Amino acid sequence: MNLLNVSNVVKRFGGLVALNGVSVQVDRHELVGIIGPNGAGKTTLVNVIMGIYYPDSGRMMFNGRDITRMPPHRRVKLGISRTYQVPRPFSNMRVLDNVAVAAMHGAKELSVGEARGIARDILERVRLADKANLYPLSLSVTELRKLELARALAQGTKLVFLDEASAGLTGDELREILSVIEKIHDEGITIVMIEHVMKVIFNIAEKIVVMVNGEKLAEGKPTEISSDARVIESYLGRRWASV
Amino acid sequence: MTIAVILVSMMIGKYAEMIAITIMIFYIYSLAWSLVANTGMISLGHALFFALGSYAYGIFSLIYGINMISALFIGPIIGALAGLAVGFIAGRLRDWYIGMFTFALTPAGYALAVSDQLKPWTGGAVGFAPPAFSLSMSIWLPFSALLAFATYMIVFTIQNSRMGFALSAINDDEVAAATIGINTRLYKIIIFGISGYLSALAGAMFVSMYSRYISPEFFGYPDVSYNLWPIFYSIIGGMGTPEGVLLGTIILDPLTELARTVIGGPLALVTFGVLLAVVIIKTPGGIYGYVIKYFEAKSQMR
Ligand SMILES: Nc1ncnc2c1ncn2[C@@H]1O[C@H](COP(=O)(O)OP(=O)(O)OP(=O)(O)O)[C@@H](O)[C@H]1O
Ligand SMILES: [Mg+2]
Repeated sequence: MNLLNVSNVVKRFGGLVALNGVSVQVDRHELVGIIGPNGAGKTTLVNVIMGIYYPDSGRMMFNGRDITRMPPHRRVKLGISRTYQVPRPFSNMRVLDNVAVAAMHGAKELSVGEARGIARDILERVRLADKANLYPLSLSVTELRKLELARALAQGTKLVFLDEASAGLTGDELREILSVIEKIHDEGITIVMIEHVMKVIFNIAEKIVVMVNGEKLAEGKPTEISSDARVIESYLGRRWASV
Repeated sequence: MTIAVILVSMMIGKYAEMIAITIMIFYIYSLAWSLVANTGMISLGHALFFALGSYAYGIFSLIYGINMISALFIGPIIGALAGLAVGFIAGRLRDWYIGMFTFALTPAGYALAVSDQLKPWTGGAVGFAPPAFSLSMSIWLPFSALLAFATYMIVFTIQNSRMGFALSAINDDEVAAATIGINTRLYKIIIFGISGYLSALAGAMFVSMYSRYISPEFFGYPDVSYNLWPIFYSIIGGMGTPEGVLLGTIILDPLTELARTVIGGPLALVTFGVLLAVVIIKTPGGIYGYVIKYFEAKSQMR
């Protein structure tokens, strides 16, 4: 049985069809990459899976449960968490408590003390521990992305969506974050990564989903995708050269 | 001559004690309002709960003969129930719709209180006097101070609990709060219930130890000041912290009393309105926020 089964999901915003019958399966312990040009509907897919909006039609199952119309907080308790492409920290809490509040209300309900303990560990892992007592306002963009990652990981969920978690990172920082993600994956967490930087995702993903214009264009192993004629023509061709 | 001096100083002492009691009462009321405000819901109709508390206390003790101390704590349960109901609806509204909705409830409360059907209990437009409070007058101040401290402890405990973190997250970004697993609607209902209880407790204390009379205007209609005091005290003092709310109440409550007797209620509200504007422009964290910043800056200079 798949961990996540999204079938024929449609989401419209007024006249715009952001998701036009998208189906995606994610297996337990898989590391899936989702790629696609701007406006392809990648973030909308995460939003619909997380319950920020309900789909106009289609169905979503997680771990054998129908989550299509379940409120977001219950999906977290079942075991799904996500990062935001545009970081959304709680500005009135210190970095440590931003992560702690996510741990407290995640898949397991933890006390404030337990949650802060976990938050410290995770901040250590993403190398943000020295900023623990600062407010998000004084973090750089890359630090805010690490904070997003830390929050999603702190929730103790089975499945984590990373919406361009590595965007803007380069060199050592990029390698560090990727190694954190791979370690988390090795520990048994299922990961879906949305990325723009192809090299990143082709190296670590076990399966790639290509989205264009609200539709799934292709799906397969990285080697299959990079040789898929349709993908190359409609997407990779242009982009591949520039990366 | 000496007797006259003693009498006058006793009167001043009594007056100061009365003011101190109202500070305790309005501290509880303001803390109750700021619990909801710090969850991102600005209520303009908290007098509904305040008045329900005073009526419940009066009706329980006068008509049903319930022991007055018990009535003081049981009566506010009516405020808690009303709070849960209001929170159920307000929790589904955004921003200023919450203010409009809660504000619109207060004339409804007034209309009920003066209605013919409820007159046997409420005394209609005239209101009624509850029996004299059974506690000896000499311990009213320590008693109300104890209740104020208990309320402070409740707020402090909430703020440092899982629930407090959830409320703070909801206040900051409701969608982000929901997507990290927080049941935003449930927490909003619960906090409105707690706030309703504490506001009603303040209302019950107000009639038992201060006004000794229950009047339909406690519903904040037509006199809106019953809705506005906790807002002014909290925001001007600094609603983010219980300390700020205390500072606001200590500074402004005596001014309210003074203004009511010297320049009249409506003018006092104008004064507070202007003061609120000045404070918000100068220091969004309220007077307490300003004081904290001032001392932090000073200690850094050393
Ligand atoms: N809340 C919304 N209301 C209206 N339109 C929206 C909303 N969210 C997304 N859209 C539109 O839906 C389409 C898909 O957007 P989405 O953010 O999912 O794309 P994306 O693949 O994540 O793109 P990017 O790579 O730029 O992040 C876009 O045309 C976008 O403008
Ligand atoms: Mg996106």
